[in-house]
Amino acid sequence: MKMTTIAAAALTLFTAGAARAGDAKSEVNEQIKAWAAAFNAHDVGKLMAQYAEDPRYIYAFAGQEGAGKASLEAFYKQSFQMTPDITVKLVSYDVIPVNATTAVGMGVWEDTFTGPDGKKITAPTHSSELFVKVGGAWKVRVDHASFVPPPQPPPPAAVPAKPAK
Amino acid sequence: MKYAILAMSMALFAFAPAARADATADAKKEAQKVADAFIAAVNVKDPQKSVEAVLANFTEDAQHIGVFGRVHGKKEFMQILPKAFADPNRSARLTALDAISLDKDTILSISHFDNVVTGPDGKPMPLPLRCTRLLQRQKDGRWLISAEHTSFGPPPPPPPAAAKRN
Repeated sequence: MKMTTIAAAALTLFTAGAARAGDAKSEVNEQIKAWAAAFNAHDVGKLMAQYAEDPRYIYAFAGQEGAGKASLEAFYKQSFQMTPDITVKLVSYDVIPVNATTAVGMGVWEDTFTGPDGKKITAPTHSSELFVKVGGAWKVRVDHASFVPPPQPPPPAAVPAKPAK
Repeated sequence: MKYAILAMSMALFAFAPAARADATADAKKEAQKVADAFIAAVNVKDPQKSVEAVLANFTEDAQHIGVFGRVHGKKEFMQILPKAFADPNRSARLTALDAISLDKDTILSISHFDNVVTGPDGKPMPLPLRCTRLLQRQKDGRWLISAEHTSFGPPPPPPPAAAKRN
């Protein structure tokens, strides 16, 4: 009886833990979709609502980096002015639950915007978001985005020598 | 009793900023240790030993996104790193580090590295990198990297000058 009770309790705890991880994954996935929708609408207010009160950001273009909602809001406003047609498309997103109130998301995206020469550019980008649960909602605490680096040639030491003539 | 609870609440409120500062200082100290170990490992000249030393700082299922694409776990790292670490000019130096304590077993570090790699002309080329890392304390007390994002980018801007007091 005792063993059965312990086993049942362990199973309940295990199931509850798995359910929480599953919840975090689906909740964070929904959150990142909401972030993308706000970004594509260029709705700075809705975008800022996705962030925790003290966000940090590390962004792709010219190494922009900063902290705080006011700085991030100014960044987004400037970005939307400079690239008024920019949109993002989420290609894939992995959520790694850390604990009940922390999760990391890793995303592969395609950013589309008009370049300085007037031509449309679609650039593959990476992102990682540290999400924290605040008042029952997942918010982005640290946001890091970067361009996908082009494939690198092997270093010289690994290049096979040219065959002798 | 009511006053005791009130006094305790006030004490907790009064000490909360100090506790936060302590947590941040501890987080930074632990993140610094991991970053130093990582840098020392990258700078090991022997490529195989370097890869082994670098991966000793990661959990088995560590996730990476960034300069190496999308990497899931040490097995995938082992497919990628030996080629990258074969570069004879490879070196790294930590230039900035910040850390956020998320809970007693979890830290988020934001760091900058000055890397050197072989450029297309065969000469050493600087490669500044930004790096966000999730560090998790293991059962044996070690802090290991469980997730990271590395990207090319310049070093962080200098901190703003202290405001002038009138």
